[in-house]
Formats: sequence, C-alpha cells, structure tokens
Amino acid sequence: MKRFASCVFALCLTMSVPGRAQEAKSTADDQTEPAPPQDTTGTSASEFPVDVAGYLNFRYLNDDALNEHHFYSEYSGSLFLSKTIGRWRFHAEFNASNVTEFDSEGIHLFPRRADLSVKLDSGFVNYNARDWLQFQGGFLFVPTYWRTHRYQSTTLTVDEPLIDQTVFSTAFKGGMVHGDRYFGEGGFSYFVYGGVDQQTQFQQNVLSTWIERARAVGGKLTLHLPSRQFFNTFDISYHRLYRAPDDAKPDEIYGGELFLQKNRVELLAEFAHASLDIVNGVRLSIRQGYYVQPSYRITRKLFGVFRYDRLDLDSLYPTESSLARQSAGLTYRPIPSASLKLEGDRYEPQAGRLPSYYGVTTSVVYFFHLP
Amino acid sequence: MTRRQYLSLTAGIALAPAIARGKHEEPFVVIVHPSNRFDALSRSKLSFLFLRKVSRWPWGAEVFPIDVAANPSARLQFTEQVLRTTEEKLAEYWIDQRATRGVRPPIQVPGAMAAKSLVAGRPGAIAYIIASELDGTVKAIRVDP
Repeated sequence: MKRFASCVFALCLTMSVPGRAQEAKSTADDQTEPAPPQDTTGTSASEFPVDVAGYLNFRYLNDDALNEHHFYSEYSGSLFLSKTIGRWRFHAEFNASNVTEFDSEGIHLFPRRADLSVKLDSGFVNYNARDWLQFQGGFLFVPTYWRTHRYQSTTLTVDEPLIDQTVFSTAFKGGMVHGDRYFGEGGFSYFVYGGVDQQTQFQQNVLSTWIERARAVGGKLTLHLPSRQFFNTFDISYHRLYRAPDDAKPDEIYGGELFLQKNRVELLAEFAHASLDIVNGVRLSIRQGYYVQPSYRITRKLFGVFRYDRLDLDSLYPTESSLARQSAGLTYRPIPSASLKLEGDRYEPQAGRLPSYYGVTTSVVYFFHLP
Repeated sequence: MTRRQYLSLTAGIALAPAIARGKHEEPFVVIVHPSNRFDALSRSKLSFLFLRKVSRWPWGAEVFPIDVAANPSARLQFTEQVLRTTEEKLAEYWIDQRATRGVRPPIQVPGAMAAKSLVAGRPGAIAYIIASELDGTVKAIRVDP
C-alpha cells in the first residue's frame, strides 16, 4: 500500500522534469512558432513544473443525539498535484486530517496517529486517445456524483450525504475506460472500470466495522440532455457495480443521479441500492438510500441549500439501521475560492422510533493554487 | 461568405444584447490560428472548447483556449453570451475542474496583442478580442447561435 502511494507520488513529481524537456524540444522543432508572449497575470503555470492546488478546511459539527451533546471539530487539508504532458495526465490527491476516527478510506502515507492521518486518496495516470476514449489507471474513486465532486470548496453543504461511501464503495485500485462526447447542446459521458475496491462494512448487532475488499467491475453512463436551453445543465446518470469479495457472496449495486441547473436554481439527487451477500441468486440483505438537494443562489455570493437524505443500512435490522436527516444551510462565498458555511440538521434515527435530535454544522474553506 | 461578412455577423451577435441594454459595448470576435479549418463554430461547441470539455480539434491539434484579461467588457460579453454563465460561476467551475479532473483554466494574457501573438504561434489556439483589434495575423471565425 505505502509503496504504491510512494510510487504515484514520485511519478507525479519526477514527470515534471522530462515534461519540461519535451516541451522545449517540440518548440525547437517548430521553426515557425514564435516565442509566446510573457504572461503577466500570474495564472499561467508554464514555468511551474507541476500544477499545484488544494484547499484548507475547518469544520465543526455538533448534535444532541440521545440527549447527549456530541461535537467534533476538524482541521483538514487537501493537495492536488497534476501534470499534463501531451496526451498523458498525472494527478494525485493527498488529504490530511486531525480527526482520524472518521477517516475516509485511502492509502496512508505513514502510520496513522491519534491526531493526524495523511493519505493518498486518489492517484492516477490518464491517457487521452480521444475525448471519448480515455484510459486511466491507478488508485481511483468510484465515480458517483458526490465522490467526484465532494470537495469542501465546491459543495454547498458541510456534511456529506448519508449514502456517500456507504452504498457504493469509495475507491478502487485498477483501471478505467472513460470519455465524453458532445453533439450540439447535449452529449454523454461514460465510465467502465474494474479492479479491487475497498468498502467499510457494518455489523449492526455488534456495532463493529471492518474494511472489506472485493474484485469490482462497474459502469456508469451520464446523459447530458439538450433542453432547448431551458436548463443550463440537465444530466441524468445510471450506475452499476458488481463486487465479488473473497467470501463468494457477491454484491450487486445500482444507482441513479440527477443534476439540474437553471439560472439560480440547482437540483441534485442521488439514489443507490445494494443487494448484499447474494447466494444462489438470493440476497441476504439490502442497503439503500437517497438524497435530494435543491439549492438557490440568493445573491451572487450567497447560497441557500436544503437537503433531505435517508439511509437504510441493513434490511435485516430495518428500524435500527435507518436514519433520515433534513439539513438547511447558507453558504457565503465572498470570493470564489473561499466558502463560509452554516447549516442546521434534524435527525430522525431508527425510522422515528427514537426521538428526533438536532445539530449545527459550520465550516470555513479556502481553495488555493500555485502559481 | 467573405471574411468581412463573418465579422459583421459575429459583431451583430455580440452587439445585439448590448444595444438591447442601451449600452455601447465593443463587439468581440473569436480568433484562431490561420491554419484552422473551421470558418464557423456553434456557440455550444465554442463553449465546450473554452470550458475544456473538448481537448482536441478534429485534426488532432490540442485546443489551447486563451482568456484576455485586458478588456472586462469583452470578457463579460463572452462569458454571458458564449459560455452562458457568470464570472462567479465560471470561477467556481474551474475550482471544481482543478480538483476533480486536474484541469486548469485557460491561460490568461494581458491584452489583445499578446492573444494574437499566441494564437498566431499555436495551431490549436483560440481566443477572443475586440473586433477593432483584429488584424491579418490571425483568422476570425463566425459564431453561430
């Protein structure tokens, strides 16, 4: 694991050197190409060997579950390193956090301490044969909408939806063929992937978790539907994943996504359903969930967002493992790279068997890039 | 159709909303390398090029979009009329793209001279400048609605 992470990291850094050499050669070969003008804006990264970006995040969550006051605060940072050389692109994402008990899955760069974990969350090389035919290999995210766009600098909510990383697995080591094709106003995107994934599994009756690894094959198709310019974006997706763990009890997962944008209004929704531990065509249990998240841009810098989400973790324990949540919040972006978020949450545990409880979450995010 | 006619059409597309708002804004033109095989592009295709959703021209040259910082009026027109978005949403889009795809926004140059020089020197380059700054070093293309 650590060796794999080190290799990806080293690859990203070392590719910058041959990249410069190659760029210099192609310029020299083309005698007709004049020297590009001096860029004075500071947005060009032509002199910088690797594109460096990331964000710093502080978030604070609290709730009053079961009349006890719970809270936690988290300082975290993400770093993205990218390098493009011709049709090849190298990309790595590292995350550091001081809250290790809620750590998402990833490859730890060094042994996790009680108050710090540093992980490679994604690292890949991508070859662009055509925009509609690209090949990717490495440590990749399972391409659900939220996993792909989960960054605190772009999300409007502080906390992730309940189904994130719970129904579909989080990430996998393997390969992917993907691409986009646009016709007129519309188009499609697809992903076909396979490898070894990892997913946190829950055992409800003993409240324990463990990481389960499985061979996984999946595919996702997104249609970018033309709407005669009625919507700015009208995307619908269908996603399937087949997992084969070593216990010979495979899981079948499918899901759907909807993303609509019209001027100031956005609607984002995801649904996911997993049939778990299938033996002779009979599943042992079901796990499923969904969320619906409408948002409205109140002013140029202020957003209002609402989300209803629900997760039924294990159909063998239909009431104990069910949780619903309603969140309403405001996100203020004084500049595009900074976000201040505040939201209130109402939780309905165990399908309403237990009394509802409330929480407040807040976060401050700053996105940066070099140069 | 002659180049002059293309320019008139492009200028018309760019001017119409400004006239409707009762303001005088200099129209922009979209420029490419003289070897570029396109004489016209649809608005949506142009938007895909500038948003880096399409990375190569049909003949294989890498698309190299260029943003011109010097003229806020042309930039605003281009963002609203071609990309159909706002400056804030565009900045948010590039933050998302950097994080999710490792794709950076178009290079930004200080003015039309720099844009023309860069477009003239890179077969895949594409930029927009104010129509009055157009000269023979680059090729203007028509933007179809």
